[in-house]
Amino acid sequence: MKQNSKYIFGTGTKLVLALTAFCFLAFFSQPSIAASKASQTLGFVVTTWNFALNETKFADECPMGMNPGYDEIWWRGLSKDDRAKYTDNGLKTRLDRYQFAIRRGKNGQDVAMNPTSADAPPLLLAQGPASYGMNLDGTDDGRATSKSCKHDKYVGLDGAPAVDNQLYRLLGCVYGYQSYGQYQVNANENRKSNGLGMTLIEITDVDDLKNDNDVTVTFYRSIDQYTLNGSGGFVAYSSYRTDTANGKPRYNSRVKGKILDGVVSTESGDVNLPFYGNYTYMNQLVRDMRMRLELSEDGVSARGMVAGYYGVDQLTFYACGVGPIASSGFSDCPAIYKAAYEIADGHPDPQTGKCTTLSSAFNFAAVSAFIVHPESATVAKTTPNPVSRLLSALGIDGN
Amino acid sequence: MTFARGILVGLYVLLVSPYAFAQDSRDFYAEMAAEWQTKYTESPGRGEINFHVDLTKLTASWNITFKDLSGPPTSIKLYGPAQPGANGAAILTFAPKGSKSPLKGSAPLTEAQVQYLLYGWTYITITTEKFPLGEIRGQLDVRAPQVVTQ
Repeated sequence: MKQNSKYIFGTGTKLVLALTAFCFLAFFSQPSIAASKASQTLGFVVTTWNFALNETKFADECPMGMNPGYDEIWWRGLSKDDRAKYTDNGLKTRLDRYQFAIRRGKNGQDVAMNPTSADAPPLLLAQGPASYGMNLDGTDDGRATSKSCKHDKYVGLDGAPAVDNQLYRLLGCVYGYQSYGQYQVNANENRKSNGLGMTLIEITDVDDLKNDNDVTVTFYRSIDQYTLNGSGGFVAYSSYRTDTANGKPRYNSRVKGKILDGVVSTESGDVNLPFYGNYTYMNQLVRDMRMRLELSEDGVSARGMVAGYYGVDQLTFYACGVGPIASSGFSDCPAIYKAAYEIADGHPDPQTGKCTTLSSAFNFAAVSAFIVHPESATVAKTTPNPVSRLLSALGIDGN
Repeated sequence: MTFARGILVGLYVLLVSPYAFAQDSRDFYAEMAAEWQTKYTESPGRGEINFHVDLTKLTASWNITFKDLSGPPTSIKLYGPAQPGANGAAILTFAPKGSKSPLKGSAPLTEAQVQYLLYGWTYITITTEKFPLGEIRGQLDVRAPQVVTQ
């Protein structure tokens, strides 16, 4: 070892040659070396996002029909004279009489803003044994634990046992929340047309697209609107910048995951997701969230489901805040609010023991995208390419 | 072995699978009165509707009774989609002018019409000469299924 050192460093000419060769290689070969060693990154932009409700063709899950909305409950409660008076003998549309229907509180309050100010008919809950979702509480029978309240389990639509989805039980018979219902369709359309509340999913540390037992999944919010083609379809492989404040992403919840046979699944974690729909913006916190994402064969698109606990207050904020659009969504906030707390199954309040979150699941679709981080934009700007670096080393301005 | 497997699969479909809950038919019921008309209407008329839908054949059958109307019916029709307090379009005519109570019959329905029924978005109105927009009305509500397999 000592002799070798003497041999190498003892010859000035060889040292100069060696350093020159090293520098030459370093200038020209760094990108390819890095590329061969670096893991891949997959990026997606979420295109549609829906409450995961098990919807059968003839609404078997709703044997008593769909729940009544504000207008019907209000109208049924009026005298015959008032019905004629406030609806102009039935000629006023639901939207035109929403201003009356919504104020059915005991003292004329807006029941969407004050859901406890009016009596509500019992919410018709979704029936049946099957649902989307995952086993979130870890029990086989939905018994109460330190982290959950007693509830009934479902069989997963994929056959998985002991699935939890109290949010489906709650909203499964509310028309507006069906995949074809006013709230869902309008929320997706809102995001598509104005670009608010768009979620980006980035999967990093991917060594193998089919099977990889250690990847990282990060959720961001986009500040760019969707790139759409002439038919209104989502264009894959478009670039979306992440939303940042003071150089840091506003949304960057991160969970570990793995890829098995091309399906990405994550571990459990509290995840913040951006949301905009029905003219309401909010931060969606999904607690103990897990994601399953199935990539298409060509890698252009993906379909996924997230399951986790959704706060009752968070749901109320959204469900009660949709405004006049409720006139065609057919929901009743007081009924949803009351039933939500009755069937909540997660995160008991330490003081009262009453559960504060609902097990839930959401279906979503996504297309592949390039996710642009401000720091990568900075790096690209300040790090010259190899040719520029060589020219710069030679004293020539290559930029 | 194959036979035993067949039995097991059959039991799974009946008891566990997501399809076990499906019903082959549904029953609906409504009481008709003037107070359910959206237009202010004074009439002592009363009626009762029993409505049955076969979901596999997409057919409806009904038994409608009525009394104390101001005159013979000029039309008896099913309307939708509309919740109580709102008006829909006629989607099925039950009987010609001058029909008498009780009224029985059957007719095919489309999937969309069945869905309106299942959501509670259909009603039946009887019109008379005195009340051309409707003398009595009844919103069809789903009756709870008698047997629920779970």
